[in-house]
Amino acid sequence: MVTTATFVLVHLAPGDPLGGGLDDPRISEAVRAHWRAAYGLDQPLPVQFVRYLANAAHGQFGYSFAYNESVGGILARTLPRTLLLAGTALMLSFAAGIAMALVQVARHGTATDRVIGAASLAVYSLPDFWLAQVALLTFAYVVPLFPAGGMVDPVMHPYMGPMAALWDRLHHLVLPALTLAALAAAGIARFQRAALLDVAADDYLRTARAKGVPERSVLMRHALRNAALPVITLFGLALPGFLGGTVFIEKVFSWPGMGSLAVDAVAARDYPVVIACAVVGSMLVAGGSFLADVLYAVADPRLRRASGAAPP
Amino acid sequence: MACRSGDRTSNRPEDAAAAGASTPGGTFVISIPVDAEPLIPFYANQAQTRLIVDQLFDRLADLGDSLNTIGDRGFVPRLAQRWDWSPDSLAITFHLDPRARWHDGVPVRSNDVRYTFGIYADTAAGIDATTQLAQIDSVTTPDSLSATFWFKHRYPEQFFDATFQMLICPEHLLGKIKLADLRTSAFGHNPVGDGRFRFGSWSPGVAVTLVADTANYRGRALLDRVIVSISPTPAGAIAKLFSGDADFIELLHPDDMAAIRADPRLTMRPYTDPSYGFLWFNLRTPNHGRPHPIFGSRPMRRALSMALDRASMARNVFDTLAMVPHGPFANSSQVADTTVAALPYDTAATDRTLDSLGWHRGADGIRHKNGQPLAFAITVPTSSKPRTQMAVLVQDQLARVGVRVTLDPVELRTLVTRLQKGDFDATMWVWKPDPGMSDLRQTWTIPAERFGANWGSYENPAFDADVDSALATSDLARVHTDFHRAYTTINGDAPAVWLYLPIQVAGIARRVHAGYMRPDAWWVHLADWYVPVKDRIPRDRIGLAAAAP
Repeated sequence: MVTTATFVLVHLAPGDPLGGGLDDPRISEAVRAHWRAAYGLDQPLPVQFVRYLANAAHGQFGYSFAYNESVGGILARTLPRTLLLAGTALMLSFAAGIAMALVQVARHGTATDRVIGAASLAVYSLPDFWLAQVALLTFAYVVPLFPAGGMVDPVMHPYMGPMAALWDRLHHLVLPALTLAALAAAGIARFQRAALLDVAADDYLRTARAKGVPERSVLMRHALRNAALPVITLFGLALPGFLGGTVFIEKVFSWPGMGSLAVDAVAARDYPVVIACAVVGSMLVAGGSFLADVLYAVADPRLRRASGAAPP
Repeated sequence: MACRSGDRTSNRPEDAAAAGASTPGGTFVISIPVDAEPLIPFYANQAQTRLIVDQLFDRLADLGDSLNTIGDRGFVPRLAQRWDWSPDSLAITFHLDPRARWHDGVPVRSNDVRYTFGIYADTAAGIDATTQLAQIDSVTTPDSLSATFWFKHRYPEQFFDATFQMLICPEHLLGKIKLADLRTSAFGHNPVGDGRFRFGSWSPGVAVTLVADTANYRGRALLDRVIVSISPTPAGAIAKLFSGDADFIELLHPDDMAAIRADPRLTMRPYTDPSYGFLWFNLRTPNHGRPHPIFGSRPMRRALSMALDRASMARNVFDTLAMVPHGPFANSSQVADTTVAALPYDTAATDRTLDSLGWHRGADGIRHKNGQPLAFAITVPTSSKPRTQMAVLVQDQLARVGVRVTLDPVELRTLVTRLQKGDFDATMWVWKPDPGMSDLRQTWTIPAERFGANWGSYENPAFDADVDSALATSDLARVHTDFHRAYTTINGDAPAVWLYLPIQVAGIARRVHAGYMRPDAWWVHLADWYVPVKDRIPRDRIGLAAAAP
């Protein structure tokens, strides 16, 4: 469905992969016909679609008009960059979100709870593109703590030693990853806080407190484990959001990943790349959903027992 | 708005030597807001791509800083050491520098010149410069170091056409590629040129690296390398300059100038830009069909033009960084004519004309005729903030005379496709003419509807005749007289409203000693820019040694 929808939409858009060349009257019809044939654009759309599906089923996404190389090669270069950014942001956002929720629940009803709640709501409501631009201008320009984009220093990186190169890469990763994480962390914090408050009045917590277990342990060891299930579900389902977020974040921070590639490909009418990005994106979303199921089973022993040995 | 002019404009070798440039070195990082297109000289139209290919490839001779395009006065030898005119001036023989070599070591020879002309002149290739070369009959190669250009007739810009329009390309690498495959050939991502910089690497969406060609026949570039750093957004591009990740950005927004002034590491360099911005009326219906119901009428176009206060609009959008054009040319053009009459700002005259044409105001304030409102759309590229701002001002000013304007924001590539098909009412456009006098022929004459960029279908044989006449004579006085008549005609016909001449201001790191920034291409002297030894930072000192694998 994703492939079909993307294929139809991208071909409906005006323009062509040769910068309007296919309709340029200054270019001879023979040359235009050659281009159409070379890129398979001379066939009716249904034929092009069937041909594309057949190739995609064999893992061949075609050849990029704009990059002049196989789409597989381009994705092999850009996808790991996006996964690095999205994966780092995913980890950071859950760590920060859960930590904020724990502080809020520990200080439930206090000014700290309210301030964190209001702040997270404010961040949650910000458009990601705007926040990214503000973060870039603030931390790369007003207070120049971080580089103004890119994955590494394009000049010095090849000349660095291993440790300096690692530091350079991390230094470039911080700002885009934090920006992406900040948006998600706010939502996760609110989710986790609600889940923790749901279990706060349960008997086992009252028992733990009656036994003299310190409040920190009550929250971390008993409450958090039982309140983690909804957030674990969210972990897998957050992946689509992160992939969507990387489109904007990568553009603003000049991060040469798949999100940035997809946007450029849409602008260039690079049909094979657009469709491949959509397909890979949807595969990652499905993978995230599967991951959520697996983690759910790992976290909840009842699920393991239910799916394990059947009762006699 | 005032802006501080840079004081570093010298290109003299003695100045460079005194400042420590005799020790080559330095890395110059240019921040650009879009990725380059394939680096094929034939198809390098986008400014960012031209910036790169102009470093990699040489012409036979280059336009001098005077920008004279008549005869060969002021032209500077490049691949051609010298040239001879035939007695009847119908042929020019260029004698190639025997030291010139492609970056793969193969000598540059006359067959490369012949091959290059063959591609540029091929009308099937869809190359923009093809029409400019239509008056060159052929190129022959008397020997391996001589190439003779044969012209169909004599005209003032023969030498300019033979040199400026073509970057010479290597036949031994491109000659076997089919014409139709050139645009997408692998050469575009790994070009081999003959300029003072050689291609280093291209990481799509990240950067293009050019490296000094140490054995170049014209001498080694003073910089070690030029990095064209790609930022997908304007904010990202400017942030790189402020953070020190980049040394140069070619176009500053007025909002950024105060910050540049406050930063001791940076300075500003205003430079002339030959572009002119205009509101372009489509005189025909889509696909260049029947006369447009509104803009097909000359009195209507004149009335709409007179309803626009161009001076206040330019000031509103650009502050002091723009002027009002006198016609379809920049004031820096050698055929500029600031005495030509322009239509005045006169809303009373607009009202009278529209009334006389039968367009009367209705209760909603909009004029109607035969039940139809006086309404049209201005298509604006979403990528351009100034053009969008201009369109909003046009919308407001035309509303005051009873015209309803809607804005139609369109992504640039889509807009170009629509313009080529004539599928627009009006658009906000910017044209950057090349330095030659014949540019007017490419944009506003009748043949340009088919082979040029006359996408608004302006047609006036009298205008064409004056332009042709101007381009056929070497008598400068007559050139100016003919162009004056042509400008008067087109201003009277009002196929567009000439809105602004931008004054560009670049942002640059102070440690870089920048040379003269030529109006048609600020980068032409880039190989002579340098970083004085005492001002070098770590990235300037890495030398030309290859990076560790």
